[in-house]
Amino acid sequence: MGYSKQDIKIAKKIFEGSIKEGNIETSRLFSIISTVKKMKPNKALNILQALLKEVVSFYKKQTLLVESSLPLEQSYLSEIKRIFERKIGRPLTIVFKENKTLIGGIKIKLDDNVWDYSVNQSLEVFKERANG
Amino acid sequence: MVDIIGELKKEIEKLEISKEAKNTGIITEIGDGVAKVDGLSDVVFNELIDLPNNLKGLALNLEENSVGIIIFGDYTQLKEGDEVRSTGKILEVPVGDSLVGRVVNAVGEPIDGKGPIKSTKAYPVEKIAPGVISRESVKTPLQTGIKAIDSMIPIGRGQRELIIGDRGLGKTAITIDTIINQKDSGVICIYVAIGQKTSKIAQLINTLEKADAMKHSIIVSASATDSATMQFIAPYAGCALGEYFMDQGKDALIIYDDLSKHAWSYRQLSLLLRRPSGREAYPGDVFYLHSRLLERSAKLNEENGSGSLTALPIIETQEGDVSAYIPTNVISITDGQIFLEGDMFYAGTRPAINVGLSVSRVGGAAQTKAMKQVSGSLRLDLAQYRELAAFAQFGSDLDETTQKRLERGKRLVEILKQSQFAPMSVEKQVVILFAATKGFLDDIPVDKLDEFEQKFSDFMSTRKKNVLDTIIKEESLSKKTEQELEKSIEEFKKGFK
Repeated sequence: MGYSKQDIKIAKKIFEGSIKEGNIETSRLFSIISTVKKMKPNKALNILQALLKEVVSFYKKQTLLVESSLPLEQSYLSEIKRIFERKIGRPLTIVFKENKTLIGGIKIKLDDNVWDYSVNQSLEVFKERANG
Repeated sequence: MVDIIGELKKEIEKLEISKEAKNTGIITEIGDGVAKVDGLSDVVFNELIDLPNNLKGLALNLEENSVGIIIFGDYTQLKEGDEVRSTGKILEVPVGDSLVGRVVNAVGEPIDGKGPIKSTKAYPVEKIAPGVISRESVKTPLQTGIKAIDSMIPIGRGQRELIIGDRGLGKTAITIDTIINQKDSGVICIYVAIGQKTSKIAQLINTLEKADAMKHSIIVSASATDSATMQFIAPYAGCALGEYFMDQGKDALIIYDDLSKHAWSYRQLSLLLRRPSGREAYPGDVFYLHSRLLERSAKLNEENGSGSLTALPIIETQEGDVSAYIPTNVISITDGQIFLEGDMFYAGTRPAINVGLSVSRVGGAAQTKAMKQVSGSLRLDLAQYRELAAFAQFGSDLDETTQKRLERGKRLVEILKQSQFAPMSVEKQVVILFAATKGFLDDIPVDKLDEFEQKFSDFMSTRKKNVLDTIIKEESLSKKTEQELEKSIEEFKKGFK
């Protein structure tokens, strides 16, 4: 990992500076990054790595990842998006991913939270119970 | 076959998919039994974590951007990038009467090959100790069967008495004797082995089985081959087992063998989790590590069932240094200590208890009146003897009183010696100590005292059982009993050569 608490603090400040109306202002973020690159402060690479983590975390919070073993119709995805936006209270981006290991059912991921209604998960629960 | 299908159908019907979201994270670093996880934003301190390959972990470090977890089991099965899930539960161990007579690991799984343990209840491993309102003072004795302890350093039910000394001086032997002595007392004994050699644990189980003491004992084993995580959690798991019996209104005894190794395992985990280290590289909360564990030993009041949990923690010192970090911590937490001394051990005084440095702060209230009567002056007599013995080494001419005191002292020391695995009942202890302190043994040669004690004990159990019964019944020595006892000793001495 390599970066210290101080690097994280700086990265957070840079990141906060590039947020406008709840969204990342890309041009502003890139201009800060190029300034950092030019100035080459101590541990610049570590700061940029920490910044990347902040950006990834931001997008994870905005992205609803839907996984299923078979392709889903657009209407289903829109319905899922609508339900979650109402629940979370902010607009979300929906991404669909086909995942054969789920066997059946559906798995929805938003940030650190997972709603797993897949057959694979049911079998895991069954296995755990059978093992006592 | 129909039955199997039916059972499976029932199980599948019972399956419910949780509508709640699971909090997840990704392993970013893994090694030496600890993992760093990104995510798990809703995790709470000490929460149980589900890991791949049916492994479990415990969230111990909650940092700004990551979570440090300790892993139970084989961490080599995990890799960077694996997904982990929070469970919303804290670590629990199965408890109940079905565990008595069994050997379990730090998470309560049987390791004695006697099949699964049927237990319907589970207790949390970490629990807040009973408060002042639900407690009462220690008042019932817990007999160890060891003369030197029961007479001078008495232990009460609910007390925490530290056993401290260098390696190989008989710390574990004292606890084994104590377990054996609880055979018909109704006390359930829990022995927690932390960081010990597996062979030593096997030997201990064998000894307890031979002495028929496994029937009232539970062994929690976290040997040297187990991970630091298992060694760290073992005493808390053992304590949870003991708390179950205490809550049932029963008396339980727990032995932590030993807390020095427990502190080492916690130091290892803390350093791996990159917690700031302090004195002797232990983390800042090493005192709390032991205080929160030992505070869980208690004597509950009547409204709470009158149960008790007595703790005998063991600390191994290096070169008799009791002023090291962990020994001083545990000395200050406990209600007294039994100090074992190397010089005494090698001089043949076994158990090698230094009565000058040993103390029981609350046990006196739990001692029976009979024992108090015979042992009142014992500690002082021994202290005087030691002082005079050191002084007598330099001079040859000693007055009669000093010589008598020395002779009495020699006999007291000899009488307090005791073989291993031979705990003695309290009434027998009372009669032999009565004989020694009242001077009835002054004319018996020191080298004949062992034989005298054994034969006198047999004589009392066979010919003067009524006197022993009176001591048990009255729990004190009345004038009449004292006279009868004096007569019995004189009668026995006439026939003893």
